[in-house]
Amino acid sequence: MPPTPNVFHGVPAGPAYGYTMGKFVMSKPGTKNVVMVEHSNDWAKSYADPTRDYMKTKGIEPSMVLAMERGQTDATAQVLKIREAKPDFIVASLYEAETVIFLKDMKKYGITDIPVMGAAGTDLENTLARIGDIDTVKNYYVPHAFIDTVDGPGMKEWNDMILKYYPGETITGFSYVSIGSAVAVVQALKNAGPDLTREKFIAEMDKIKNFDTGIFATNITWAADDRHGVKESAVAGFVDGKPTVMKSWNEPM
Amino acid sequence: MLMQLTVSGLAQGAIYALIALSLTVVFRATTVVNFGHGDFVLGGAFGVYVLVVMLGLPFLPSAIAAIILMFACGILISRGFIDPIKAGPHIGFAMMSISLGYIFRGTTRSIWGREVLPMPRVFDIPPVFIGDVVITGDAMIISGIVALLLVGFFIVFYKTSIGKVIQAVYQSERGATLIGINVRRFHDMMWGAGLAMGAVAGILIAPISLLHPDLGAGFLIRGFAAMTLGGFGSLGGAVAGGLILGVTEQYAGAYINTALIDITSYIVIILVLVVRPSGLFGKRAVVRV
Repeated sequence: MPPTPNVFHGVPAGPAYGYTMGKFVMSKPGTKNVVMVEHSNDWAKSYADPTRDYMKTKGIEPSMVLAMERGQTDATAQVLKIREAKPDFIVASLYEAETVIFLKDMKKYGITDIPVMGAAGTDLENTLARIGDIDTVKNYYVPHAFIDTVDGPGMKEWNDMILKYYPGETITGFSYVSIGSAVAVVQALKNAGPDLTREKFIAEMDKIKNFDTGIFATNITWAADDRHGVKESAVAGFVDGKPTVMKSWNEPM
Repeated sequence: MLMQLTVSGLAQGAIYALIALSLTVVFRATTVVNFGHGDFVLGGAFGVYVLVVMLGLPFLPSAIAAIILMFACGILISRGFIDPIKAGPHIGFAMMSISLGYIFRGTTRSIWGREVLPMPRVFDIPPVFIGDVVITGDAMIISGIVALLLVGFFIVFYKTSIGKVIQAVYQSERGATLIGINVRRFHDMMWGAGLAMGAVAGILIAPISLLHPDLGAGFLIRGFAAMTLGGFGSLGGAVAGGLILGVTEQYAGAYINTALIDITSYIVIILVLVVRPSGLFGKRAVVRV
């Protein structure tokens, strides 16, 4: 189906994040055994399915797919099954509350050395704040759309901008979501020049190719037949206890 | 794995037992099934959150204050919302309790949105290892507090004069009225006790599960399942039902499919109602015609 002429998507969506999740998992050398834990809803599928698709291209099928539903307050059954499966990587498409419960139960049952790839609905710093223990999240990774972590120097310019207009704002990864596409829109407006028309603007938006927004970890490309501007993202995880943005396993941005 | 699942299931089941018992206390006293109870369970947890996290007060007095607050809330519900509709159809009680629960949930949402709030850990007890089995500090605290509370509850119920009064009203409201018991006040107290016991469950589980306004729905259905399994109206049955349900969820998740954990309660309700409607400890309803 051709895209709607005046709709442009300028943030990573489920497929982009799922692709990134799969790519990151497979970038860890020797990854063969992957267990997936997910909610059985469309939100979780929007991340888990593209992750599975990517892994499939590398010849890997998840060895086990476990359900953990919204509102569950215990992950003992899931974690004990994972302990028996001894995976190289775990993909957890879970909401924030269940992610915290899952990670805490992993620690409780002594599984602290298996990396966990979370979904984009969770935020690294928030997860740490909710768990309050760096040891529990030291192997937890999340897709991260931006060039740096919230407190990193790369985000200072954007943090200052947000706080200028919203002085009371608590800045999280979600605070930056629409900035990248706004930067691309400004570029298209500049390129269109004076005497702006709707057609001219759309034509200039379609000319945005491999555009560095200065905030997204990956560039934006739009075309008349493809309006998903962002195809993948980076990943954030803790390196030596510090939130770090990475391109792939052990490779910081 | 079996032992670990059993230990974990019993800790979860202890919470379900407390919720089922608090539902049963209100049901036995007033014949009202409190469909808003899941939300009131969280009332205690939100009360503690406000007092401890937002106002910086110490945990124990905050927990006691929250429990008292929910007790008062129960009295208010009984006197202000249930008592006035007593003469109406029984379905009105269900509608009222659902509405009150949703109002509570909506209020918490309007204050905290859908934010997932961390509750501070109060007791940092290291886990105990028995072979491969881990008994966490949380499991010990939850099981210990719930066990103490249940022992206290059953001593009051079966061994004290207050308990005799409660049993008298349970058996016959009219008879209790004739010997001078204020049944209306008794209903208030039972609503208060039910909400206060539910609040304890919320306070115990929130530091583990995190706190958000939608958490209560899952607890309500588990409370119902435990009640059904134990037998409607049976106080001991509610406790046994909660513990069995907690362990069953773990076994079903580990040995059959993790997707079953979330629906175990529903399966239990259906199976019990079809196979043994009176539950494990309930009395068969006999209607003289």
